[in-house]
Order: sequence, then C-alpha cells, then structure tokens
Amino acid sequence: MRTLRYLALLALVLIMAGCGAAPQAATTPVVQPTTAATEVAAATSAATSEATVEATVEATTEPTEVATEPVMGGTVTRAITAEPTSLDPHAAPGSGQNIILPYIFETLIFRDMDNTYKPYLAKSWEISEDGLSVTFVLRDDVIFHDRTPLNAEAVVFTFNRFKDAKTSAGEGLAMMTGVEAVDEYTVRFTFSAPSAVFFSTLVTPYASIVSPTAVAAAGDAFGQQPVGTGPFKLAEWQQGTAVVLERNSDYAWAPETISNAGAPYIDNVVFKVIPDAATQLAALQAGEVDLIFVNSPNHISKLKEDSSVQMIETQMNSMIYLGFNLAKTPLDDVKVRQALSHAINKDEIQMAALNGMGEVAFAPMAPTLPGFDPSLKDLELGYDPAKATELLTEAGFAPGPDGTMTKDDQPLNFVLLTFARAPNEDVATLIQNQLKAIGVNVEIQQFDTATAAKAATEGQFHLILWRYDRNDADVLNVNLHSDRIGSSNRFGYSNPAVDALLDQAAQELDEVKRAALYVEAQKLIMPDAPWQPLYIPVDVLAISKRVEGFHLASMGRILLQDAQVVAP
Amino acid sequence: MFGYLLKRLISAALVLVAVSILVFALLNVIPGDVAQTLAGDSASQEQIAAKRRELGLDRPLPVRYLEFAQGVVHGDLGKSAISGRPVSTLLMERFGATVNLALAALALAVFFGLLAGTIAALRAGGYVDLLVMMFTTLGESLPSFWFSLLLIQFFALHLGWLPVLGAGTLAHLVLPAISLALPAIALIARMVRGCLLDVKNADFVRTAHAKGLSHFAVWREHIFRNAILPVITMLGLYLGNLLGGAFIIETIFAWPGLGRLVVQAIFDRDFPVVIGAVLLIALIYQVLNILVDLAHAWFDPRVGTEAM
Amino acid sequence: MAFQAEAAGAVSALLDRPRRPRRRIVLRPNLVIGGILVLLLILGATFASLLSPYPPDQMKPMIRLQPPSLEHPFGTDIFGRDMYSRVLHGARIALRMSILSVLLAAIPGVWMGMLAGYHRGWGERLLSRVMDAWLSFPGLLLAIVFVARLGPSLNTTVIALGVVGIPSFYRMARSGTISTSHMLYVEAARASGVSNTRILLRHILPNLASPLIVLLTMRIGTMLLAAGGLSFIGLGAQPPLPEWGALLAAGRDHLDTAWWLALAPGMAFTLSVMGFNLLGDGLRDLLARE
Repeated sequence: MRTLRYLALLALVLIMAGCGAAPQAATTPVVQPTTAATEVAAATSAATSEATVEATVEATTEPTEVATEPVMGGTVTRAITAEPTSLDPHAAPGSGQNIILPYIFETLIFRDMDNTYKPYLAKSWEISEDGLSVTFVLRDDVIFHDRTPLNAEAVVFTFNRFKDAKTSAGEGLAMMTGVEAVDEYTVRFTFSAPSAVFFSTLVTPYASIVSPTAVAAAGDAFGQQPVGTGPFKLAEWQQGTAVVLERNSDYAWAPETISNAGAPYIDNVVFKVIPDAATQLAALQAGEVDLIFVNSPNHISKLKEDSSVQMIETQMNSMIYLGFNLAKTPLDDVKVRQALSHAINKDEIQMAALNGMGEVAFAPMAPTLPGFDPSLKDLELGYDPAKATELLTEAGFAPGPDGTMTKDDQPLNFVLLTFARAPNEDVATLIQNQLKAIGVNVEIQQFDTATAAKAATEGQFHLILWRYDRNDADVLNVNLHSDRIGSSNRFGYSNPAVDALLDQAAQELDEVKRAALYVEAQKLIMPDAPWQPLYIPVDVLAISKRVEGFHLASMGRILLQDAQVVAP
Repeated sequence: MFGYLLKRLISAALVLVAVSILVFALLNVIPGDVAQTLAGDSASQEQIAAKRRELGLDRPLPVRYLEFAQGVVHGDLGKSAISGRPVSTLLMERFGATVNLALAALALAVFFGLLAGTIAALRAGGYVDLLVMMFTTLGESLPSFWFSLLLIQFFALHLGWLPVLGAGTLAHLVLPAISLALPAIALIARMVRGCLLDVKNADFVRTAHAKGLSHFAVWREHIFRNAILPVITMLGLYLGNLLGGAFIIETIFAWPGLGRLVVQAIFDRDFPVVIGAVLLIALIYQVLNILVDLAHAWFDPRVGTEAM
Repeated sequence: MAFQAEAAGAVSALLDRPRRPRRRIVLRPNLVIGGILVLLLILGATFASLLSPYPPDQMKPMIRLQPPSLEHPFGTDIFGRDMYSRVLHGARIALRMSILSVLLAAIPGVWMGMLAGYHRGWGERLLSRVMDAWLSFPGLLLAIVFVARLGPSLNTTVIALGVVGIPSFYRMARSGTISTSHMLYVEAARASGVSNTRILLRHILPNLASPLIVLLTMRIGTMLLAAGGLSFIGLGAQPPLPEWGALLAAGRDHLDTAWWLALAPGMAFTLSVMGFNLLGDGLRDLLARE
C-alpha cells in the first residue's frame, strides 16, 4: 500500500511534467521570426494621450528598383506594445489597433509626405463653394476581402457607422450632417458649417472603409474578423501573442506612390505583442522581430551602433509639454506660471534625459503642423532662473525657512502628473530638480496610462507632463479652447480672444488663412503660459536590414506592397 | 473521506463567493472605469456618463453583482467590456500558456530543490551542505525581474542559444521558467533538508533501522515519505502564486499568460475580464488546496481528515 | 511573488514538525552570515547621510554616466548623481518599507489569528474563509488597486504589501493558538477567571514567539523583493527617491553600456534579501532546537 502511494506520487510528478511539455509542442506559433519589411503606423499605441495618433515621417528610404524579379514570399514581423482589443476601425481607439488597421483597411484619401491629400480609394473629390458639401468619386475596381465590391453604399454605410459609434476618433465628423450615394461610385458629404478637420479625420485609420456585408454577417464580432480592402487580410489572431496577416492576392489598386500596384510580394505580416520596450529591443537584436518603434533615447543610442538595423527617425506631429492647472491656486496667477516656465532648462532636458536627441520646442504648435511659425520663438518664456525668482517675488512669494517659496504660510508644493513611458520619468526628475532650484517643491506621480488620463481629466494635478500626437492643427482647439474645460482642456485655460480665433480657424478651409489664425492664437496663448512646450520627441523606427523596398508614407506609415525579404 | 471532501468543496465554493464580492467591491474603489476608456481621452464628462448608462455601469453595485452572480450560476462569466468577446474564451486562450509555464517552473524547482535539499541533508553540517544552501539562498534572493534581464542578455543575445521571447517551443519556456523557479528552489531545498534531518532522527526511523531495514528502504519508506508532506503543502501555494502572480516575468518575456491578461484588463478598466480572471485564479487555488489536503491524507494516514 | 509559499514553509516547519531531540546549539553559518548582512544593511541605512560622499539627489550633468572610480565607487547615473550615495540612501528606504509593511501585516494578522484560534466557532470559520479568499487573490492586483486609488508612493506600497501579507500571519497565529490553547496552564488560567485578552497576550502570544520571529524575518526579505518589483514596474517609489527597484529599472536600459547602474543596486538588493533569508533560516534552526 505504501509503495503504491509512493508510486502514485511519482506518477503524479511525471504526469505533471508531461502535461507541461506536450501542449507546448501543440501550440507552436506560426510566427516564424525571419525577415522582412514593415510599415510604420506612427502609432505610439498604449501610452498616447490623444485620440488620433498620426505621424509625419521626415526621412524616406528609396524604394528598391524592381528592375529584376522581386523576391517573393517571406514574413515581416513587427513588435507592438499592446495587443489591440479589436480590429474594427470604428471601435474605441485603443491600444495597438491603429498600427494594424492601415494594412487591412484603406481610406478614401491619404496624406502624402508633403502634407497634401492624394487619391486612395477615391479617384477625385470636389468641395462646394460654400464649403458645406464634399463629393468623392470612388475607384470602380476595388473589392473587399470578402469580394463585396466597393461602392458608394459601402462608404455611406461606413461613415454612418463611424459617426454613430461616437468615439473620440470621430470628433472630426461633428459638423457632418449627412452622407449620401449620388450614384454607384459617387458619394456626397454635407456639413452644417465648413469643417477644417474633416480631411485630416478622413486620413486616419479610424475612417477606414469597411465591408457592409461583412459587418452585417459578423455583427459584434467584426472586430475579430475585420474585412477591408487593404493589401493584407487577417489570417490568424493568436490571442495574447500575435496578429498574423496574409497577402491579399486580389489586391490591384495601390496608390500612385507605390510601384507595385498589385498584391504584395511578401506572404505575411506578423504583429507580435511584446509589452516590454527592453524586450522589444532584445528581440530585434536577436532577429526575432524585424521592426520596432523606439521611444527611449537610451535604446535609440544603443541601436545606432547596430549595423544590422536601419534607423529611421520619424518626427510625429507630437510635442511633450509641461501643463499648468489654472484651477489650482496659485497657478491661476499668470506670474507664477511664467515663473515656473522660466525655471525650466530645456537644453538640460534634451542633453540629460534625451541623450541629445529630439528638438527643443518653444511654441505650442509642433513644427510639422500648419500654424507653426519660427517667429514665435521671440515669445518663448526661456530659461532664466533670475527672472523666475523675480516673478515669484512679484507674485508675493518669499523664501520660507527651508528655502521653499512661500506666500501666506503656503509653501509652493506641487504635484506633477505624468504617465509611465520612457523618457517621461527622467524628464520629470529633471523638472523637479530645476524647480527645486527656484524654491518650488515637486512631487512626481507617474501612473499607468488609464489612471493618469483619469487623474488628468479630473484635474488631480498642479503640473502635468503630457504629450500630444495629433495630425491636425486643431490640437489647440482640443486642448486649449474653453469649451473643452472638463474634458480635453485639462488646464482650465480660458481666454475669450483665443477661443474666437480657434473657432474661426476650425471653419477656415483655406490652409494658409487657417495657419495664420493659429499663429495669431499662439501669440495670445504664449504669454498666458498655460503650457511650457518642452520638446519634440524623436520616435525612431528600427528596421532590420533584411527587409528592403518598404515605403515610408506620411503619417508614419510603412507601406509593404513593394517590400521584399532579401535575406532568409 | 467523502464527507470531508464534500465539506471542503462547500467551503471552497464559499471562498469563491467571498472572492467575487471582494473583487467587485475593490474594483468599485479604483478610479476610472471602462466608459472612460471607451469614450476616449478627449471625451467630455457627458459623453462618459452616456457611455456609462449604455453599459449599465450607473446602476448600484449590488444590482450589478447579483446580475453577474446569476450569469456565473448559468456558466456565463459575461463579456469583455472592451472587445465584447466572452470572458471565458479570453481566459481559456491564456490558461494553456499559463499552465505550461507554471508547470515548467514547478518541475525545475522541484527537481533542483529536491536535489539540493537531499545533497545538503546527506552532508549535513559539512562544506557541501553550506555551499549548496548558500547557493540556493542566493537564487532565492535575486530580484527575478532583474535577473531575467541578465538571462536575456546572456543566453539570448550574447550566446544566442535561446529565444528572447514568445511562447511555443520548449526553448521558449526555458528562460521564463528559470526566472520563476529560482526563488522556489531554495524554499524546497531548505524544507527538504530540514524535514529529512528531522525525520532521520525521529524515533520511528531509528526503530526501522533497528528492524534491520536497508538504508535505502528506510529512506524511501520512512524518511522521504514524511519529508514530502510539508513540501507538498508549499508547492500547492507556490503553484497557486505562479498561476496568477507571474505578471512581471510574463511581461518581460512577452508570455501570453493570465497575469498579463488581468493586469492589462485592470489598466483598461475591463472589469468583467478582471473578475473572471481573479475567480479563475482563486478557483485554481482552492482546487490546489484541496489536492494538497488530500495528498496529506494519502501519504500520511496518521493525519485524520478530521484534523484538517 | 512567491512569498505566500515561503510563509507556509516557515510556519509548517515550526508548527508541524515532530519534536527534535535536543542537540548542541551551534552557531550555524547561515545565522552568522545572515546576521552580518542584516547588520550591514541596518548600519548603512542608519548612517546613510554620514557615509554618503554626496547628497543622493545632487545632479551634476557634467559628469553623467561615469564608470566607477575612487571618487564615485559605484559610478554616476544619467544625471550625474553619485550611485554610491543613492544606493546607501536606498538602504534606508528598503529597510523602512519592508519592516513597516511586515508589521502592518503581522499586527492585525496575528491578533485576528489568535482570536480566531482561541474562540473557534462560526466566526472563526467565516474569518478563515475570508482569509482564504484573500490569499487566493492575486497580490499584484491589490497593489495596483491601491496605487490607482492612493497614488504611487512609498506609503502606498507599504499599505498594499501589508494588506496582502495579513493572511499568512493569520494562519500562523491561528494554528499556533489552537495547539496551545489546550495546554494545561491556559486551561488553568481560563478556569481561574483571567480575562481572555490577558490570556491571549500573556499565555498564548509568548508561545507564538518563535515561529513569529522567524516568519517576520523571512517576510522582511520577501517584502523587500515585492516592493522592489512594484517600483520596477513604476508602481512604487517615485523619483527622485533612490529606491533599489527604481534604480534597477533605470539601469536596465544600460545593461551593456553603463553596467554599473544596475549592478550596484542589484547587489545591494540580493545581499539584503539574502541576509534576511539566511537569518530567518538560522533563527528557525536555532529556535527549533531550543
């Protein structure tokens, strides 16, 4: 009996060991990390603060001349930080999906490298004189992955669905009153007022055209079975591990910037979920993935020494800024805000926290957005600690017993809120140190993205180290218009003159006039100091040299129709 | 025995009810909810409130709990608030990978723990004993989140022997399993060593020797069997921890396990997933507890089921 | 977080094991080495300010990322802060955090455990089920909930870890109390009308002392690791605090270029945890023999 029990234990251990081994073999993933190219959807995925994540790539790589026979087949593997919860373009904008969507889906138009709009699924379009209607003529040779033809019905269906979803990505449709099919391949959008953000909304992956039949068939599960017109279609979704796309062999309608109008040369694009940035880096160096998106200056420095990797600096339409919460005293006092702004040494931040990368910012508008003007530099509240102290003194503060600036027995103790993502922590640490020098104490609170966003919206901060990524100049409307107080205007900033200019700009369809309005608005905003613009982040795409021929498109996308995997 | 089992099962069910209430209450305390996640960052308070109504999150907590409990009774854990997929499907997708990793870590820990503990006990008091115990304690004291990075640097990047990340083949298992097993090796070794020494000096072992049983037979029949009980107890708890608490290691090695699922869900405020995962983890825990108790009864008939 | 398992080990080893025959008491090496390491940690923490050549937060961008030298024995970080001073000040944080969180777990845990073990009945059964539920609840989740609610800080970490740790002390105290409350002198005290509180404090608690001391010691080490893990993933100490887990996290990007950034805190971490583990182990041997 005793021996029996002893044997039972042994058997148990063996069975457990067996269970441990057997299923592993069974679940071997299809993902064979080999080679390939990839695409850059600017997507900074999980940790971004703004709804629309777009990027403008500055660098370009020459597409390889396809004079000889292209190398067929192969897989391109890209790391993504967070697994998308859904691949439905009209689901809530969330982690990771905007990177994958542009491969499966396409939009009516796209934005080229020079920031002009180009035909995509739409051949041409026309804006009415009063700016209240826009008519698109569609290509007539496009079919969805489920072989449903693309027609005006599908576009009408898509935009009604998009608008009804009421996601933050669909805000640009606020002025849209209707969308109708004029004929089989003509669609007309109508507006209650001219809408400047309509076009920049159209080029986001969230405005992708979906197959009406597939949506009807899949219902709620469409996010798991997306059907679009893109060069790739979903092959397999290994939950928690990878999203695998395969070549859409029907594809024959690539935009003019692509030399290969037909189906992609490569077989698969695999998006591997790798939450940890350092692991992504290691995976790239070990050849397990071909493309990663790098935020950390330390990682960028390290990759620059790796000869097997090509580095492409993308400059997103992004900015890192230090925001002030005007709802909290004494930050309602403009002198205090100006003082804090003057205490920030941006060069030191760039040197120590960014390893010398990035670009110091001075105006609220990112240099790649319309409405940026170099002359605004004159209005910058630059580094000047003496001026900072002077302004604080003017505001009634004096050094307290421990050196902290104090007024009415209230020492300047601030909470600095930020979200966890490199190099925010380092930047926050420097700001803390720099403000300490003028007698201001800062407590840093770094949260996960969801918690940080909640705290930001509720105004639970004095200072906020935040980032915007937005492909339109309306970033100022979103963040600083007083109508948005309580939602995206987290700063409680309100200036009627600024509001008027922003409203005017939102309805101005002439790009030049619109940009001028934004410059005017900034001239009023900058002395009010609701923000101290800090720097333009450098987001780098690191691509294995085994992948050739990819196209960098505007908005940070990498198009893979021409890509070839040149090494095994 | 059967009555005892029944009692244990009822008590386990009660624990699960307690866990579900606990997690419901806790999630209510956390700021932010899925309405915020779904409505997006730049949504206004009204938009969020509308989303909340749409999802039924504005109803009182007890009502939502009862609704949830009703679903569970019918075998329905609900749907993810974000992707709309059934929670049970999400859990099943991750469960396999989690079990694989946990069992691999357990196997490593048991093998090396038993080995080290037995060697140390055989050479008790000597240098070998000291060396073995110091070495295992060192392994236990290394911060695994740091050590795993060194493992990646060395074995995956420097030597190129093993893959950095992912799940699938046996090779993928090695590094994360080592990272998870290291702390437990020392625990097992120490316990095995202590128990072996205790039992060796106990009366019944001396009696057995006196009866003329061979050395090996004494070890097998008496010493080992008595030493195994506390080890089993500990292993049960350890395995329970592995199944739910391997988040950091899962993140570093991009392992598609339960820990990552539940942490991501809590960051997304996807509460149905959090609740489902916590219940699953608690269920595993309870099952392990019962198995451990049964193992006690099985291996040591002196332990009456009453005493447990 | 394998610390629950460790707790079970420490307890069962003292409570369940058959009585050892008396043997000579020797100072086992683990007791000595563990003691020395813990003593070093305590000394370092106590005299951190005296021993540090520089203030831990003093930034000197001119000397950033310098390898170890005589001036900076552990090198400097990306802001030019002296790593040696930072690691030393980190000892203070580590010790404070781990001891506080262990006490926060031990005091309510032991008290509830003693009450439950002494009174038994349905109240005890209910409490035990709640503790079971608590134990089977992923600790990290609790910590995240606390951080989201209270904000990331050392205090939050202490509270979260303390709360997570309660059940193991409860279990230890409960089973210890059950086995002692039938002892003759306890029965006698009860019969002579001594109040329950007094019995618990004067008669039962001293009997729990040995396993309690061992459990406390070992839990300090595991709490250190758990707290470091939380900081490592950004849920614990906030900058500029030189918490070791945070230092490790900052050094992880430099493993191959500025290796000293992760090495010094990693060593400090490992040696401190090892100190508590060895000490606890040694104490258990020692106390079990008495």
